[in-house]
Amino acid sequence: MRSIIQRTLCLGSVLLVLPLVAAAQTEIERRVPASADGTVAISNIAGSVVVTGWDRDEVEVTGTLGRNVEELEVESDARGVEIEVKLPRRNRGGGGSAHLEIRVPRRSRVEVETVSAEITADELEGALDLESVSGSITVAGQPAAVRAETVSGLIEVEADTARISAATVSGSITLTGTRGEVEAEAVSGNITVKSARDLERADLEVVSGQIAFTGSLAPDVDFSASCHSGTIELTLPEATSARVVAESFSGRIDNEFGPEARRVDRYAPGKELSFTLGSGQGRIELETFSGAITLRRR
Amino acid sequence: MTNQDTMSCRETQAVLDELVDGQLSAARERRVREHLAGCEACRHEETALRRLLAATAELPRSLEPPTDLWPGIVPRLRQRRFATFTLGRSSGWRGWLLQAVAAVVFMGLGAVLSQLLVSPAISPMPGAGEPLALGTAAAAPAEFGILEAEYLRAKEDLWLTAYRGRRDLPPVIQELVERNLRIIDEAIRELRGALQANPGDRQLESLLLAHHRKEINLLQRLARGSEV
Amino acid sequence: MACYDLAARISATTTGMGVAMDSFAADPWVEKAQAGDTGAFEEIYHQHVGRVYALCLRMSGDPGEAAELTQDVFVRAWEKLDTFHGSSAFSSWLHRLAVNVVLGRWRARGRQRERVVAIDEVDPGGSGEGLHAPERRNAIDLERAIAALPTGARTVFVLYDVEGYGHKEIAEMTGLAPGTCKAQLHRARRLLREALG
Repeated sequence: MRSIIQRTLCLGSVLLVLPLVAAAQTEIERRVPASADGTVAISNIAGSVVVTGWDRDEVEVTGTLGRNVEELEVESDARGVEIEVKLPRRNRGGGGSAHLEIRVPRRSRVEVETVSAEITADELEGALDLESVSGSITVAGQPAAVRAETVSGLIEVEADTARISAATVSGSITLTGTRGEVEAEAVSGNITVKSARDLERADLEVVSGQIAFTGSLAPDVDFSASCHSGTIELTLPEATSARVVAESFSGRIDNEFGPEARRVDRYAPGKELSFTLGSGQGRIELETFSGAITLRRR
Repeated sequence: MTNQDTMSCRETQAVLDELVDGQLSAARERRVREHLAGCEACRHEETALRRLLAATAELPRSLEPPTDLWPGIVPRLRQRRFATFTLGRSSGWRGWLLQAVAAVVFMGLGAVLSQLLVSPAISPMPGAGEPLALGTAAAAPAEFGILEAEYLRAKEDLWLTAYRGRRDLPPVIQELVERNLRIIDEAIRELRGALQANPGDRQLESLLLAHHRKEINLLQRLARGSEV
Repeated sequence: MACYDLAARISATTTGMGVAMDSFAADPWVEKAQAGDTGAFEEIYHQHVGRVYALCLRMSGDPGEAAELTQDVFVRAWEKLDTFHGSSAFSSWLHRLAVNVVLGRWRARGRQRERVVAIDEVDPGGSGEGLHAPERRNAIDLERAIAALPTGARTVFVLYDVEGYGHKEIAEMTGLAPGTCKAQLHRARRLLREALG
């Protein structure tokens, strides 16, 4: 039977331990001046980075640094602001995460680089350059341009922006409400473009993933999609105006707009389909090696 | 002598290579030699191994190639450039590695790069009654071989840098990248096969080059993945 | 220049890497070649092609591929000549480059092939070393047996036992884990012993 003293001592030691655990996480809050359209460059490894625009000519960083983070470096000079999470030299890649919430002048150019930390950007109007290995990238707002790159992280851009460049190896890319120009590339991930509005240019490429596109195209659109063994599915409005050329070495081509694919001598098994929608001002070029191509009408 | 000190034949033969290479600790080596002193079968193995290594050491260091290879080398010796290539990114974290890798790729591709950045337009297929349109940026047949050779060389350089650095990445990412490299390799293999059956096919050629480019992009990503 | 001190140190610690005193006779040629003199480079070619070809042939097990590889090596050496700083002997630098070219080419081309060697193909040819008939036959058998090894085992065997690189170096060059290197070496030696009886 435990004596009261023993029980008190137990409780006491627990109480002693708690503050130590709490101290392992560091709260941070820093503010530095920044020009309205300068560059803010952020580097984190694990955890998360949320960048939001505001109207002040300042950059504010808040959040928590986990154990194993040596320090958070925030430097501001004529070129811009640099925010970097530093891990101790000896402990490379061995954990150490930081959750950062960063407010920057709206028109800043924002560059973020992480390994596994997820990146979120919103309410920004400058150019965004976001890169992660396995973290996801999510963009909203009205950035002037977006470049997003991951190895396995998901990329989602639901922004009213006229220039998007997204690349991943195995993550998936989802672009909603796209207009203007878009480039997206994946090896085994999927590319989904939804609710595109008057898209002017598209260049979508996957090796073994799927490309799915729905939306409207500008009259003189330059649209190109290509897969090796993945599939391409386009859902276009009835009123689309473009010359369509679809080619596949060994995949099938299905077309709800009417004309059927025919065999071509050049490829032994290959098929091609070319026809014109509307006045045929734009160009839609689809090619696969062995994947299927499907054209749907809305 | 306790049971622990006696080595079995199996144990001995497992470390014969290390014995012969001088990589055993003094204690271990002593025990192995003790075993060998009393075991003809293992001595026989040791002798065979030493004989193999002796024969190998006797192999000629230098071998004459069957034909003079110099004529095949001369045309490939270009005027050497001393370009220093910078990427001009504002970010200060791009390691020297990315610069070095990019330098290798871009120096290798040289003047050819501008052609490759613009994917050759798909030449419109002649429909009924339509005149045959000429392909726009499609490379002349002879050039495909040169372009592919450039890509392959860039890849070779990258492979070494990227492949060696891959251990810096978390294992999950390593596997993922290797898996995706295999996917691209598979695509390249299929395209090559198709191209063999349909030589000179522009479509297939441009697809093949595009996949080489994808592999290079992936390798570049791998090469700099360990630098943050 | 510290060349002669370097020469003494290297020859004192020869580890079977084939570093010979004559590699320093190449120095004036190297400097000229670095300046763009292809005539000087041709001289370098003649001095080193035998060693390079031997390495390429043994690593690939195929004379045709070895010839291509050898050419690639010299083209690459020409391009990278600027990076040779004389901190090691030129021949070891060239050799290291040759290994990298061979390994790099295989990886880039996704080559995992296990090759079946035709009887007459791997003949070391005249190397001027004047072996007696039975010894020459044994040498040919050994070359053939090496060529018939599976790729991984052959690579490590050639680098370790023929070319004299250490385990750590080989692991670094090939990207294999050191444990895998050792295992491949053991396997190669075992297979060779079995093949040669």
